[in-house]
Amino acid sequence: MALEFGKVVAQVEEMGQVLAARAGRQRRALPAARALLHQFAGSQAELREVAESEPGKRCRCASPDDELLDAAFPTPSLAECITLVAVDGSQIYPDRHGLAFYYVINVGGIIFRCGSGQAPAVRTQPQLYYSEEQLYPNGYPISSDLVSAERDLAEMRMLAEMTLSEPSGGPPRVALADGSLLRWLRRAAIPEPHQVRILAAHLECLDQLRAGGAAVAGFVSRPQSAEVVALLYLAQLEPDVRESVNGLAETEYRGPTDRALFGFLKPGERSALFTRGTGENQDFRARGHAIHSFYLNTGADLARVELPEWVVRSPDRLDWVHAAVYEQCRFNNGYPYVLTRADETAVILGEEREALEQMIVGAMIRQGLLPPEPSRKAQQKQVARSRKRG
Amino acid sequence: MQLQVGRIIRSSTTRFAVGCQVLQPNVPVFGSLVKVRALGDDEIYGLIYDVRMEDDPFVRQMATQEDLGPEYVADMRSRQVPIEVGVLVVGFRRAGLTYHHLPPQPPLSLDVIYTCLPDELVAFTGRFDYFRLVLDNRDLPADELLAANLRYAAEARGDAGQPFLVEAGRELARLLAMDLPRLDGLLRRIRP
Repeated sequence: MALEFGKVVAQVEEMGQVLAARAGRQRRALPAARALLHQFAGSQAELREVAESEPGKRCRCASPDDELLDAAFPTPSLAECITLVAVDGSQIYPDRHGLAFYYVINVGGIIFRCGSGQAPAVRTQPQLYYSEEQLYPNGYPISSDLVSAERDLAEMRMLAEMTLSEPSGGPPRVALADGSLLRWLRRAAIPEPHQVRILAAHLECLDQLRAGGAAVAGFVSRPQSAEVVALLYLAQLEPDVRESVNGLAETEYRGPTDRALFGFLKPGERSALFTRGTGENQDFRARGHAIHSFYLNTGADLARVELPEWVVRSPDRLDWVHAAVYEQCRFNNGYPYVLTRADETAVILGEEREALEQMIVGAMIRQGLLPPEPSRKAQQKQVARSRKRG
Repeated sequence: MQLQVGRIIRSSTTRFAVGCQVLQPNVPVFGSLVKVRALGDDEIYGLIYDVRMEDDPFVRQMATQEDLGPEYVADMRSRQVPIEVGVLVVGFRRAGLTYHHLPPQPPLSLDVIYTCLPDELVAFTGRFDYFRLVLDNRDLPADELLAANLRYAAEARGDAGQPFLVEAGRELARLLAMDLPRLDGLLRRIRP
């Protein structure tokens, strides 16, 4: 037995206590945060100044739009016909201990034409990467972070392509991405030229969707951010005190998330709109794609829905997203059906990976190469683990 | 017209499973005679005894939803592929002759299964030697299967269908003489 449960029992118990303390802190802080939400509900201009201030940027504060902060907007009526496109991706990361050094990105997408009565169209796009340039960018083995970023970009490209393949004169088109629309490239182990290239290509996809007349949104399940809470906390401080704040960690507002803050929303209702406070949003803002968000009660959960500036500024597109995402969640346990299906389409299962590796082995043998083997380390791990299972 | 049912996904000399993409109104049909080309020029005949759509947690969850739009239903059906069709081997054809016993070899995976035309059904059911191959499968709805097959065979014969069923009934009476309740049930199922 590798994990000796007897040795972690006490740690598990301690973990339970820590979690309970955190939940208690959150419970105690939440009413105060909600009170601030109501208190500052109509102070959008003042709050925007706080968000734009140095401490506001340091604390990654969200910035409010013009809506009342504590407003709850009911689900708009769904257009009789609307087309939703969703995409997700999966990957096989490169493994130098495996049979061969390669990686795979598989992207799956679905076009769901609500009101058509038709079965959705499903598409996958697998890509195998094996060349020197692909595996050793800048001369070093590719990192998992870069593979993930390439996968995200492949998803966005397919999302734009599939969405814009639907006729522009037909039903409204909503492109739905899994997760945030922002890209966190700077924090990852990705060489700078690749950061620049990937970000530019991602923004190019948003340009295309905007020009094509579609709407786009990112669905974030169980968001952990506290950008609105941070904003409210800073707003109630005296300006001179505010200047010295670096984050919520040392304050009594540590704990509640924005998701908890907007827990008063009823099924189908969305919160007011905010602009995401993170520094990554600057690149998006510069191209007219500043990422905004609202919280949505999906019927079983509270999710964050992210939208670029031009969707927020178009009341029709905003309503398409709100209505369509909620409608999708209604039938799927509080999570958009199309995203579940896109994931199901994209995911590479263990047995599929094994079958692919057998194909690779076959191709190598046909080219006169010796049958490849996993590294000794991988082989011995497998031997030891299989004996343990036996 | 001969219709494609699907492709073999699993096979033995006695039974095989076929995967197909969608259910059409007349394909695949319980009790219908189908055929597949085997190694050499043999054609193996079988009766469809089962059409199965596997469930999973996702479809079970969706099944409990009220007010489910037709797009969701259509999507769920298209993701549950392949639909699995069970076929019981009842004979084969070699060099122009039809045999009502098991073929020497099973069909291979991904071989294509076709429905038989009415003429082929009439020809195959011109003798009743395959009855035993069906009736001996107690783990299948063998009586229902044979009865359905005989009804189709009678229909394919037009006016000659009724005398055909009478002849088939006589053969069943001979085979099931020691099991009168079973015989009675089967005869009721093929009664015109």
